[in-house]
Amino acid sequence: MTLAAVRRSVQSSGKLDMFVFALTGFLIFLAIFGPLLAPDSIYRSDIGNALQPPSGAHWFGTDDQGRDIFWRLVAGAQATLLSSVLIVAAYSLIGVAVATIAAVGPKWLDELLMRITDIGLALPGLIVALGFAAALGPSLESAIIAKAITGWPVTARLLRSILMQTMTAQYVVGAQVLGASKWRLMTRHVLPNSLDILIVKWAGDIGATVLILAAMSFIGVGAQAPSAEWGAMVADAKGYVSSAWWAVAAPGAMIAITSVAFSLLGDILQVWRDPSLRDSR
Amino acid sequence: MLFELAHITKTFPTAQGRITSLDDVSLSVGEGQAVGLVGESGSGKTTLIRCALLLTQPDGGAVTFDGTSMLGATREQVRQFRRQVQLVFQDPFSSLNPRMTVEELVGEGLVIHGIENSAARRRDSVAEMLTVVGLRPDDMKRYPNSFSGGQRQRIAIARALAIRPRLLVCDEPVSALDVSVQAQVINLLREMQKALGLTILFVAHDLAVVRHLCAHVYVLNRGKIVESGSRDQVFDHPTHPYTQALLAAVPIPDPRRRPPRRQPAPAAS
Ligand SMILES: Nc1ncnc2c1ncn2[C@@H]1O[C@H](COP(=O)(O)OP(=O)(O)O)[C@@H](O)[C@H]1O
Ligand SMILES: [Mg+2]
Repeated sequence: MTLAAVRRSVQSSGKLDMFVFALTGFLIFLAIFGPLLAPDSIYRSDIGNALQPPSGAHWFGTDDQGRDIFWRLVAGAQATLLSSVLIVAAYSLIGVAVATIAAVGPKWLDELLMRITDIGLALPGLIVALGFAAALGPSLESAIIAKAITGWPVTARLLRSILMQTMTAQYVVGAQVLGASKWRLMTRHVLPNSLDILIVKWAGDIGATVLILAAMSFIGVGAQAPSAEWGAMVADAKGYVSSAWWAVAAPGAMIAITSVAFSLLGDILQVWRDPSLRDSR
Repeated sequence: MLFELAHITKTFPTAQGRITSLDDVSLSVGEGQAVGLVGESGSGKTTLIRCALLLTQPDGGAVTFDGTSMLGATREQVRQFRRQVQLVFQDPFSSLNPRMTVEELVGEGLVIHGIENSAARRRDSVAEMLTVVGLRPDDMKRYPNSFSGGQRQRIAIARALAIRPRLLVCDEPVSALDVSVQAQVINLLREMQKALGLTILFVAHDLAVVRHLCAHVYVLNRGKIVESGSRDQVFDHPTHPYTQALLAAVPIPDPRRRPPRRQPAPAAS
């Protein structure tokens, strides 16, 4: 079954909605509290225990340093998921600001901002992020900065076109006739009726960013080996995958599950947002 | 004259070249009058209103309100104009912000123009206005979604009248409503005109609605005024073939006794 087909079936089933909410809620919980829950032992090597297969004592086995993979995943959720959330929040803010200024500002400013946005869109985002991260030195922080700086143009472009569309709505013209200032039109009428699509986009973007951050760690420009960031864990374990498949499979699965869960969340919110499905007038 | 449009011309660029939507349209509305503007769909009525309300710039002509020329008016003059001229839209399903409560919608003009700055006093004003248009003050906390088309149009009228404008422009305010509630809304507008001494410019695509409300009538056809005069003149002695055809298309002039017509679907947006 393709992902699109999964999405369609998800959209028609309330139970799966609840499952996705529970899963994303649980992942967010891990991202916030994971490092507090995990025992200190995951930061120390215990060579005697290296490469243990999954068992009652080590649910997901141990890695080449003898560290428990399950607890490393719990602790690493923060590096992977919280970072993704922050990245999306950062570039969304920039995008919202650029789009709003473009929409209310004078025409020349709109033109200028949109040309800059076009340039940003035309640049291959991941390549730029890689170059950026390489220039700043490989670390989780540089991956976050790189992705945050390259992520905003899509939001700005999307939101500006939505703002322009909303600005032609009759209720906006009505507020104009009533004498509302540009600021009031924007903050009371246009933005509240335009931002909800971003909430949908955020969920999907978090899913995508989890993948990109993991990919950056994997190819060595993001988080580095001792970190429990999931991509870094996969990268670290790929050297001994033939003797300990679980050390790659477990973090790989977490990356995949998290990415899919958040993009499904985006689809569910999309359905919720659609008034034709929400209203039974 | 309170409000005058003189020689308004408006063209739009299209793929087939420029089309002329308004061609030398002149129209005037005296204080306290109810003036009707009739024309079939596409004749340019909404375009004329957009020019009249300074929402779009006409290619030529003049808009004069209370002696002030509004094209090229100062910010302060435009603010005064917005305080005194209000609009009721055709489609009450798209003309009310879905994320504002009735209280916020009806009270917005009072906030914008600093007429009632205390929230409590504003609430009183809104409650009073709702009662005037035939809604319950308790409806204040609800969102427009939960009202019928006729009720929404009452909210729109309350919103427009809350700041006590001198001129109310109505762009086909009943054509999107059920036939059964059309007459109620027309009657409400008539009462408002009498009670508040309101001046009304009423736009419609059929003559029957206008006959009920307006003492003076203009007929617009393809962007040109083809006939104008008092209600009796236009209805009893139409001179232009277009007016005669419009009249012939409306056999029963009383909106309350008009046969049901195809229901226009509420706009999806
Ligand atoms: N923004 C626009 N761009 C191009 N043509 C327009 C625009 N607005 C109105 N028109 C044209 O002007 C004519 C009059 O339209 P309108 O004023 O909406 O008529 P009415 O309100 O009487 O139905 C129509 O032919 C319409 O296609
Ligand atoms: Mg129209």
